Amino acid sequence: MQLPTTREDHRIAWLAALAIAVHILEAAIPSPLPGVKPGLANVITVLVLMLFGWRMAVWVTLLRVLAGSLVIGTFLSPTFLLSAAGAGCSLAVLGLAHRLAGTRLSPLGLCVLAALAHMTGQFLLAWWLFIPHPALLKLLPVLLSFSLVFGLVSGTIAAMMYQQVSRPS
Amino acid sequence: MMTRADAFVILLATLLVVGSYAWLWTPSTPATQVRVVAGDREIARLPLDQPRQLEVSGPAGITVVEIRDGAARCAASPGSQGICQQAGWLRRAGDMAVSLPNRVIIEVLGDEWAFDSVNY
Repeated sequence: MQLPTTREDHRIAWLAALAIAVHILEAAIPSPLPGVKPGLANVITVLVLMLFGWRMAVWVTLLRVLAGSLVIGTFLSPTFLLSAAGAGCSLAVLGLAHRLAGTRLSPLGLCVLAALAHMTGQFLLAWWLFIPHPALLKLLPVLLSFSLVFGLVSGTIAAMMYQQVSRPS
Repeated sequence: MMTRADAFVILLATLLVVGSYAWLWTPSTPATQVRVVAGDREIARLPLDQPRQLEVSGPAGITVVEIRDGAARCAASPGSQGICQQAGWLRRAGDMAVSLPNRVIIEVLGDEWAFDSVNY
């Protein structure tokens, strides 16, 4: 059986595969705090957003979260739900920011926004669903600091990659 | 490489992070008055800005409450384990020292009501 596929389908598949690879490699990095990781897969999301638009970024990110969790073995676990909440929140903010600011926002600014939105989304889900305790709020400033720093790092990487990719050859 | 919009976003993000520390890490409300309960009666409610010493008599003897520098403490109590004294200076709303043998509760209160502890 062969399903008819478009060029865009293939592009989404390739980019999602790349994002999944980054996602899995990143899962191997030990983390000092639950919920803290560099978020390098965000680089792919932001680049896809800049190059191919928001709809494609949504596809690539959702496939990444789904297939990444299947490979790591966290599908439908709390980790998966947190990841999905973060990704959803970050996609919403990215879509809004990209629509409002267009190309005035470079990958650097977009990555910072995405990192903070991802952290906020997963924190709110964790607070609402898993640990509804006021003491968890004490952790939020620390988590936000980490996400700001990692957003700047991944944003710098994304900005450098964007320059390379978008340069007319 | 960095655009003006990027700089704006980064500035905003930094303010958000700093603001979250200010908002979520500020200590709870300072206490303004102390409430002393002996048995089932409240026997005194005193402001914390006036230094004072108060002797409360209970079934086991006399508990001494000391008020100084915006805080209150149990300075002496007949309890054999000194649990009341070990609570130290009470300065944040909701802090409490209790002498069970002498049936005395020393509790400091703020302008805002606060939990003394929360458990799930």
